[in-house]
Amino acid sequence: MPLERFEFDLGYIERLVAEDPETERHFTRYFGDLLTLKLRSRLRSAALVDDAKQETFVRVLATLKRKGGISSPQALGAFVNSVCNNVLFETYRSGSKVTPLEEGYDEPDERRPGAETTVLLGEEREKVQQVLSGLPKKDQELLRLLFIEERDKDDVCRTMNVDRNYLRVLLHRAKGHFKDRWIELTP
Amino acid sequence: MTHEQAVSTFASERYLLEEMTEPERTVFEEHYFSCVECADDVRMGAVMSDGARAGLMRQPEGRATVTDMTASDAWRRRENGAARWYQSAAVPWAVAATLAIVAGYQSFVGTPTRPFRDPQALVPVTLRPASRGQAPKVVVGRNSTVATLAVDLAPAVAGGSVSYSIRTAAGSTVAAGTIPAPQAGAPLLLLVPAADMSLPGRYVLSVGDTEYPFEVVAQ
Repeated sequence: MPLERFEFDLGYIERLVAEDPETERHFTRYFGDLLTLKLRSRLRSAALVDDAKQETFVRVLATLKRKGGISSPQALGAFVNSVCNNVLFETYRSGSKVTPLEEGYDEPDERRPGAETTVLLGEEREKVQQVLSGLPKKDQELLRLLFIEERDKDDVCRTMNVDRNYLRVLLHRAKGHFKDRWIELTP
Repeated sequence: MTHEQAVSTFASERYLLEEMTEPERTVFEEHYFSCVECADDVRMGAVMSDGARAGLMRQPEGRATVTDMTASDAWRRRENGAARWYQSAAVPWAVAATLAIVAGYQSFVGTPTRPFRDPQALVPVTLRPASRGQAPKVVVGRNSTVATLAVDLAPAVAGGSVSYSIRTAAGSTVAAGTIPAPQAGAPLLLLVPAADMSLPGRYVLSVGDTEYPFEVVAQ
């Protein structure tokens, strides 16, 4: 959902360095969600995702405090992303040094968003439920096939009688309807 | 990547559909970390898809709906003769729940994956209040749609209502609400969408002031 818009300007960085609680809250929520989305498709467990996220935050904030900010405040997002890339690389590297598991060991894949890697907050669930349940049937059908039944995309295309390009259009529209309903229900 | 390129190539949708190659994903991530509009768009898509995966979308009419419905709730609706009750997906669930009560509890979770044309038995996992013993295991299979949890409530709450919540070990709430308490002598049966507990690990069901720890195990 859209968070309250904050300008990533000099003032924002200064407030972050000064540990202003509201700015810190926004920073960790805004980039926390983006980091979760980036990391959950690359790391195999919720614990690894959380560790990498926390490590990214620690490094970004430590660097900002040490240097008193960054040269271009508008580049904060790019900076967070590049720090996360470094953390990811180190996580991969440290993972390759551990003792290999027995041949044939089938490690559980926890990359699907679950209770601990979802961007949903507990208090938002009711609103998400209301918005999803109010979507047009066609949108609901699309979401059901894609995300609940997790059907193969080509199979979804056949079922909905569309090609892959149009599947993206349908998803784009569903997202638009979701956003419109979300805004309608926001006081 | 510019914002215009991201929009014109449906980058956000392709990201959500996991259609991007690793280099494409990296380029798009570099972009959305710096573009507030695309970040909002990606986050909105993730909330929508995570919400659907978590079972928060009520299915269109004609499809079975089990989200957060208790067996006692289903019976209450049935006995109150709610409008068009015979078309409700609750009925087979209530029948199944009754069969389950008669048959007694078993120690594994059931996975009703067949269409709701025939009665199906629920096989609940009975949870006990927090103790030093090992937490009961709730087995969630790849195709599970629901897990059935059973708890015995104090007779004092019979017929009233109770609040409940299910939390992960980390404290995130995956489900919460207020539900009718069963009649005295009957257990509370709680059908929980398997998607709400898709991650293996320790969870806690709180009903009123009592906590019932359990462990979700992937099958």
